[in-house]
Amino acid sequence: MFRKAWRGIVICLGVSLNLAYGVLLSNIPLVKVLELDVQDSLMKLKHPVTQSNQILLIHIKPISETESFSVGPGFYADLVSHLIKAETGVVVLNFPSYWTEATDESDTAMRDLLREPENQKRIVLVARTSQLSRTNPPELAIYNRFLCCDDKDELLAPPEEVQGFFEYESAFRRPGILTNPARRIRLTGRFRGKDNPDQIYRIQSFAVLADQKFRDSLQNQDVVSPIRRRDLISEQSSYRINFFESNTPFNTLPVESICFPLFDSCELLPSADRELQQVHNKIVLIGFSEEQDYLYSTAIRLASMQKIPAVVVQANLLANLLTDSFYRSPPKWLEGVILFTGGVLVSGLVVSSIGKSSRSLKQWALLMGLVMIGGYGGLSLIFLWVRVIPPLVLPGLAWLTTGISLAVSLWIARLLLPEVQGSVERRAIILYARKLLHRIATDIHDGPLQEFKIVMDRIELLQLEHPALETQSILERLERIGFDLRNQLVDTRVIAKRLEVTPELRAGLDMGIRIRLAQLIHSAELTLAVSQTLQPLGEPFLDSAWIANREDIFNFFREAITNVIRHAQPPHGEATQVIVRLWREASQCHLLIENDGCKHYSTPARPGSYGTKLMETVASELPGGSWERVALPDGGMRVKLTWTLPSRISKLANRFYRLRSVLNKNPKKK
Amino acid sequence: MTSSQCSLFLVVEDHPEVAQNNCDWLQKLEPGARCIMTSAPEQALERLTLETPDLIVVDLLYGRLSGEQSAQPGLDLLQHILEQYPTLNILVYTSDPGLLRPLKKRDHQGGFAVVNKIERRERFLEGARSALNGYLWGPREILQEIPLTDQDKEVLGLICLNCLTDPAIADRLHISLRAAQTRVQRLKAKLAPELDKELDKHINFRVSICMQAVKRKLISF
Repeated sequence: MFRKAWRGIVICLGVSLNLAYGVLLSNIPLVKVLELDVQDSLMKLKHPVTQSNQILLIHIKPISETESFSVGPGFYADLVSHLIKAETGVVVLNFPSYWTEATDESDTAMRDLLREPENQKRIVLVARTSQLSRTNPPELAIYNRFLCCDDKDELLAPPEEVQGFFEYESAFRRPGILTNPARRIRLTGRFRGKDNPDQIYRIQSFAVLADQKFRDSLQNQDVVSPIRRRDLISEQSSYRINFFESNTPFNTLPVESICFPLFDSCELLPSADRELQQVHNKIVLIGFSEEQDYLYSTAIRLASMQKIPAVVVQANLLANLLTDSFYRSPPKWLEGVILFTGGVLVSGLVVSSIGKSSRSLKQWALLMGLVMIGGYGGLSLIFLWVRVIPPLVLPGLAWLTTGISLAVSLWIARLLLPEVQGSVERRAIILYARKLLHRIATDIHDGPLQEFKIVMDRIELLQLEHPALETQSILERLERIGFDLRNQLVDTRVIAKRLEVTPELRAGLDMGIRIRLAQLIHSAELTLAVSQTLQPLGEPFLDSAWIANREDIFNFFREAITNVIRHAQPPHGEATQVIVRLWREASQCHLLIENDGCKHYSTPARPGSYGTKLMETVASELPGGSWERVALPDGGMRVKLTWTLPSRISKLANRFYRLRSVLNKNPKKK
Repeated sequence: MTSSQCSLFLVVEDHPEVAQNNCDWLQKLEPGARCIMTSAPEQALERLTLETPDLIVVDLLYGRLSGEQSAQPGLDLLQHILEQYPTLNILVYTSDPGLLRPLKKRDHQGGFAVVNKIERRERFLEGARSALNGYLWGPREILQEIPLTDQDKEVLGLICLNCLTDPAIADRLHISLRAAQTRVQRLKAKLAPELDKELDKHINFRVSICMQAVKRKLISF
């Protein structure tokens, strides 16, 4: 029953739906958040990491939400000097985000610090960028001014040896952003420096640089960075950060516990020695605590909507490198292949369920659901094994919605199929009947009627040749028979033509009458002034009995208006106008055609005439149908047809009618 | 018209025996006349390009390959004749004269008659004769729907407003008496065709024409 071609069509439909849902869902923020949450949970599940003791954070608090910070380059230079003296492994420095150019002489302290090659080996300056682009190198807030200059007016060190980039989007400036670039690691990138846009720098991620310097500082060459071990350093590679915990997984020191922060210095506290012991052989990240929103905040929002300072994100990044717990995001094409393949499978499964009984269908659906979940679950484990974090929520939702949509569509199609099939067959029968009627009419016209004519001709010839023959009465009778035959043929053709729903009526009886009147006026068949008041009846458009009745009512109207044209309109009559009204009162509907001067109908119609017979037939076959023809005192004629619409439909129609009345009244009030 | 003295009739009819009978009956009007038969309107059009007959007899309904019958080929032929041969005499010989209604241009300078096929041959001959005389002749319901031309309106004014006789009309319009009579007949056919048979008996058709014209607001006194 369900042919192969149809299976193919349904599967194609399913795949298209699946892709459409995929695109749609990928733009829904909630889905993005769910995806990130699930992926974060998966990474933790697969690789439960403990915090890295090799990382320590030093927090600086901004003065206020709006004002700039009270610390300058001199402060940082002092602080870093103290840390290096305390044998810190590597210091990762986050300067305030508004520092782009040299502002004053306090740059000197920083330059003096970086002038020492030993210090260069232990310092990483974080240069922030919004997002890496594969085509256009983005601008990087590079701090070459701290590396300027030696006696030969050259930089103290190559910029890429001291500075590392960090991709991020500020949660304060773009609060809606969920897929923050800071959630990923890219290891190297090309940038244009803010100091010189023409200069292209190839710079490593601050994390890679810090990791490398840290391992060098330990003087253990056997400890190779996991990234280097996997030979993954590539501009094209993108790795997901496995976030350890929220704000507090790392050891943290407030800067006030080490020194008293001033704009251009950091004076050590008496108790600082004890605190500085914690920084021995560690990677120290210096940045702002960013507990509150402020203009220059670099805080980042996680999928859970939790906001964490940039320096904590950096700590997570570094910890990922140190503990080898980062993951790779699958390329977009692979995500597309996963989505497409799943769509094909889901569509195939839905199609294969066709024809199953409702009991076995439930078992089938359960089994197939488990197979799908199990299959993709297994695939996801393989992905995780090779350190690729698979998309879960998006394809899962896309497949689920595709499956449901297809199943519902097929269910509706199965419900409608007999109706559609029946409708098509009825249409075919009507077409065939029409063809047959035409053929019958043609056959009669070409055969018996022509023969009839020839016989009449011969009789008339006989009459001419033999005037004594009495053929008049025969000829008169034959003539009447001929006219009857011809009328029957005309009727047959008319019936054949009317074996379909009148196109004008599809929009409703009122529209059908309106269009018919317009056609008559346009063709100059109707030259009287027309006053028309045609109300929509709120018709049951899906009720075949009503559609058939509507055709009859329309025929009644056509007959009535033809009578007006033939008998009341000049030159046949003296009418000047025709009134056409269609309206309903509760379940009663009325159609009225009235003229103001009808010569032939000034007396009641001739009984048994074709038009009268048609009108009587129509009225008698309509539910609650009746009609009347009234000769008006001033010489006009009124024809009125009344019928009932089914009560259930009438209720709906009444509501529609009331609503329409309300809508029609409102504009007038305005 | 044909150059020879004999008349030429062209019969367009898809039933061969009926076509032959049409010719036979037409030759009763003029025994020496030539009668050419064509079975399709397209052939008639080709024939018309060769010579113009004195009368063309046109059937309207023609069968199609689909099994249906259509008046369209016949109507197309008539439309073409009305536009291209304005003086050609036409006899429409059909079993359903109502099919003429969609015809757009019904005004014609030549004779134009409509005869129902079911009627007896005497009506056919009457129609052919009227058409050959340049008259407008046929069923009332068809003739009444033909609009008045400017020429008709001019004659109407001369009859009803100036009370002119046929010779006076001929004199006023500088045409022959026969032409004037033809114009008056055409006007009568359009406005008062039901008086046809009673013409010379009881009612003055001129009065009837004028009464119809007043009713239709074509003239006012």
